[in-house]
Amino acid sequence: MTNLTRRSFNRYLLASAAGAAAFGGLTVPAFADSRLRFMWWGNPTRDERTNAVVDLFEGNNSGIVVDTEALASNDYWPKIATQAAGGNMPDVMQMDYRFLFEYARRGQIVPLDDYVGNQIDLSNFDPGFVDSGRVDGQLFGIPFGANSPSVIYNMAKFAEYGVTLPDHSWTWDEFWDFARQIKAVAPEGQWAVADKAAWEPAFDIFLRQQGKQLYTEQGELGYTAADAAEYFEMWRQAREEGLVPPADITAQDSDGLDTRPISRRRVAIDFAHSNHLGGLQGQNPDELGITLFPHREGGVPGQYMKCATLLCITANSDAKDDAAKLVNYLLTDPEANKILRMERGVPGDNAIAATLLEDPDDIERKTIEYFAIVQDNVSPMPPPPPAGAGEVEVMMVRLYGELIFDRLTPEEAGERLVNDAQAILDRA
Amino acid sequence: MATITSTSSRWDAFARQWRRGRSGYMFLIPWLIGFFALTLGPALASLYLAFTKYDILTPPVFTGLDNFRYMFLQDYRFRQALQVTFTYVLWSVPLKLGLALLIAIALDKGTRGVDLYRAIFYLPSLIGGSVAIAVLWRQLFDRDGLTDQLLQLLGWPPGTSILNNPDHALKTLIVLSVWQFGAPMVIFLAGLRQIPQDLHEAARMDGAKTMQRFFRITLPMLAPVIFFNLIMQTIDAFKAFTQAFVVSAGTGGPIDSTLFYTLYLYQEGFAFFRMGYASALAWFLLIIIAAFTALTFLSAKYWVHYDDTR
Amino acid sequence: MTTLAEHAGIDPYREARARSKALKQRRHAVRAVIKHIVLILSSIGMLYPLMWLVASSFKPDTAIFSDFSLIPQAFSFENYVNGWTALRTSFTTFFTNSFIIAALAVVGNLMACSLTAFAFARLDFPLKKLWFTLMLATLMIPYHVTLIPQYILFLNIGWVNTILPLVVPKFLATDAFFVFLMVQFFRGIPRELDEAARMDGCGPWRIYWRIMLPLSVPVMATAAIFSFMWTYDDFLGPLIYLNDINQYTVPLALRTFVDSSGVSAWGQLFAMSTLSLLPVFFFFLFFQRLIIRGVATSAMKR
Repeated sequence: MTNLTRRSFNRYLLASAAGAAAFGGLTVPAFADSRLRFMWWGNPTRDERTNAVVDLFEGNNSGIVVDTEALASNDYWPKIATQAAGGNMPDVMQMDYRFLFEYARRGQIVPLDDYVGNQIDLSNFDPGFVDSGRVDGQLFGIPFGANSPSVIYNMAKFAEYGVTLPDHSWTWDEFWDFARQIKAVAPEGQWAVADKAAWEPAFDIFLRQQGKQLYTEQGELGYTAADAAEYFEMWRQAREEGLVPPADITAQDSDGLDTRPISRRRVAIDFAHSNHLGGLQGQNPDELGITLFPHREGGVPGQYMKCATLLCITANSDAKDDAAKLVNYLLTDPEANKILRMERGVPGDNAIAATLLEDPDDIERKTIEYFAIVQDNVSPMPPPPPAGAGEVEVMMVRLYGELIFDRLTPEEAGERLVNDAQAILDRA
Repeated sequence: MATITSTSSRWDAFARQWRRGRSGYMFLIPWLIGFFALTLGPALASLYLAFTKYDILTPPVFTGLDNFRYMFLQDYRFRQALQVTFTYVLWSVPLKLGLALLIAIALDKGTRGVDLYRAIFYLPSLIGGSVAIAVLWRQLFDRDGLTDQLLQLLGWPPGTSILNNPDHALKTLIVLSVWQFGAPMVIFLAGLRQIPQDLHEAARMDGAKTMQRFFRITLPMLAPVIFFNLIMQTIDAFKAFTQAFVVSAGTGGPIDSTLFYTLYLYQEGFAFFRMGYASALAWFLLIIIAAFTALTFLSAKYWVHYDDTR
Repeated sequence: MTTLAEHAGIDPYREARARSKALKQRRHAVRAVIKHIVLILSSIGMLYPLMWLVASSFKPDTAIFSDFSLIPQAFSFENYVNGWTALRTSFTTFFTNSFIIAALAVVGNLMACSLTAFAFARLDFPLKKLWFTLMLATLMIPYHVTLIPQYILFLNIGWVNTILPLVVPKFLATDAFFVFLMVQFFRGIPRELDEAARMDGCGPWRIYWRIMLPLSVPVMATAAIFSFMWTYDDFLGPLIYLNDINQYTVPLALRTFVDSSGVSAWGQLFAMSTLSLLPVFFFFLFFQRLIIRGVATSAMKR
């Protein structure tokens, strides 16, 4: 016996449960024609808006009841995985781009190509943008909002320091020069730029600006140890000059928006996904701005747009048609999107994005203006990451930690990055 | 003939033993049902998974000893996790138990307001592994936190972060564990309450001093409870997860300095979809814990005496 | 030569003795004062983080991380009022759910674990050592790896999305911690007591019910405290098994306040965290009395 199918695995477990079965057998009866479960991760604002839209949907579609569940992302993924193991996933789930490939290639979510044009209307979407939900040619997720890595800055600090942000066509040299201006006037305990070297999109953009990339179409590493060392060296110099904060502040910047150096008011410039502008602003009493990554002198554009989150329909759903209706409603209904707005990123439906432009709030206006600039400096979407890419991302953070705590030189770190990444890809 | 009688007498002996044991099994029924219906199945399933490649999303594939081979020969994070966990166990368990015993004895009786003190000392344990801990620990041990300010008073340069220093981060988690000494303290209190007062009275009449009474009466009488706390706290410390998860936001950082064994196991299983490998890690941990527990049980012969085995 | 004192009929040592007695008393008082000072100081150390938590719950979000003082500049109940109803279902429901589950867990654990512990502590039966070892071994497996098999098990029985997976196991003594705890305390009760009862014709049931349980109030109170607190605090079980927000427990609801990818409502989180500590705290206060009172009973019986 080398392979247990899921069913026999379950049956084996069931045998041990036979005794317990005598005690129970309580199930929740479902009386509606169709009962959908819809799960997402988020925050109180997102939960409130999404629930309101789901209520509207139920009102418009009598006979369909939607049970919603909202969790924090740390809790969302273990629960989804556990449910997947039991074949009990929600019908509709919010998906993160980094897990799209894992779930699609393992058959847990279904291709949506057949629903497009029927239940799901993507006529107002940019085809290129829709393609970011494709895995091996099939459409497994529909992008819920557009997103791009960006530079976020504190406008009040700039005014306080008396510095003016250069044009968004800045080069890395101009970027660091600007950082030096800030450093010269910043008080003790404050620095110019957050040390986001370990943030994978930053490294990716740096590589793409010189025509390289994280992973090739074939799923192999698209850079060398020397490329990584050059990148690490750039940041090491910044640290040596005191342009970026010392190691402990960078190490604390783990995950949450509240631990970001810009939120802790340690720096004037940070890097983040554009859809986090609102979240970061919520942490900060000063007004924040958003602009492009610096580019490489004589290089090519490195920045790209990608989807923030996607909507997927799971393989174990027994009401996929109704699930598709819900997906369509969330993505394309004007009423629904008046409530959802841009909380998950800029809507992919251009008609909807246009209506939101009529009365944007501050964050929405900045984001849309920013997107207009990105559009002109955009490079194509990166190819789909190979299995294990998520782990490489985590490993790089750890490795960079060893660098900033002076346990590795940039050269050694470059070497280690390539070796360890390769080992992870080989094992996956 | 002779053989028949001997079998039948053997049978009789067994029947007698069984009859005597019958009421034991009657009492054990709920536990036996729970064990066979709810506990054993999942445990055996995870044992099987330890020998498979199981990504949660597709059925497990049997891979023999591959997981263990990788664990012992290649996995440097596994070694780091072991080191972190052993350090944590060796420091936190004795400190926590010592403090719990000390406070329990101080708060056993006598002093006015013991009730209130007991409640206060138990409060930190109430917070458990709530998200608030992460924020609290940053306020205490990070740059500009309480310890930074205290160190500045002592002439340290500003900007010390204990929490985000790979050489010291684990210590803050040991402090957290010791700070939450409420559970063993309550168990010690209950144990102290079971020591008959007349023993103390008799000893006092014999002129025994406080210290003598502590070593001759309190400690030996409390031995079964100390034994229990020692075993349970050791098991708990080996399995420590929540606090490290909350404080390091699940990373075990900075640079794996707080990568507890179970935290690593969790990352492998749920973040990197290697539940088979995670199960192998879990069963290796079981062996380590079992070895420690067995040693403690063996040592018990020399220092734990029960009232019922005289 | 007699001294003046002797002559005057005064006990020459009396003064010294009185002085030494006063000295002893003073030393006693000094020691009590020192003990209190130490206790108070360490209480403050224990409490500082909690006081910070409570203070923060009265501050607006923007002040929480900038204003470190324990006394909020502006005192506001806003976080409490808004936090209570911040989610789709109010905290009234979450608290009710938590109480139901925790109360059932206490009852289940006390009943099932004491039965099991009595068997291990007092009765003889074949394979006893084996069962005891297996029971302890169940404590040693990290729960993350049994989570998925257990989920599949409960899913197949149809218990997912009910509180049964959280409650039924407690009635089946699956928490070996409590069994082991009770075994240790039961073994501390002298055997003469149940032997005497057996002479009087008591069977094991009556010994369990009439002798063991009444003499075990401290440990039962201890077990009740921990059962309540750990079930009340548990979040992984409810996270995995409950899908409907109307069934959520307090810790599960608290976790949705903070998400790494969006706006976090820290003030409301702290306000609701503070409230969530109160029931466990009062539960502790009440049951710790039983730990103390339990002794009087058992001492008398002795």
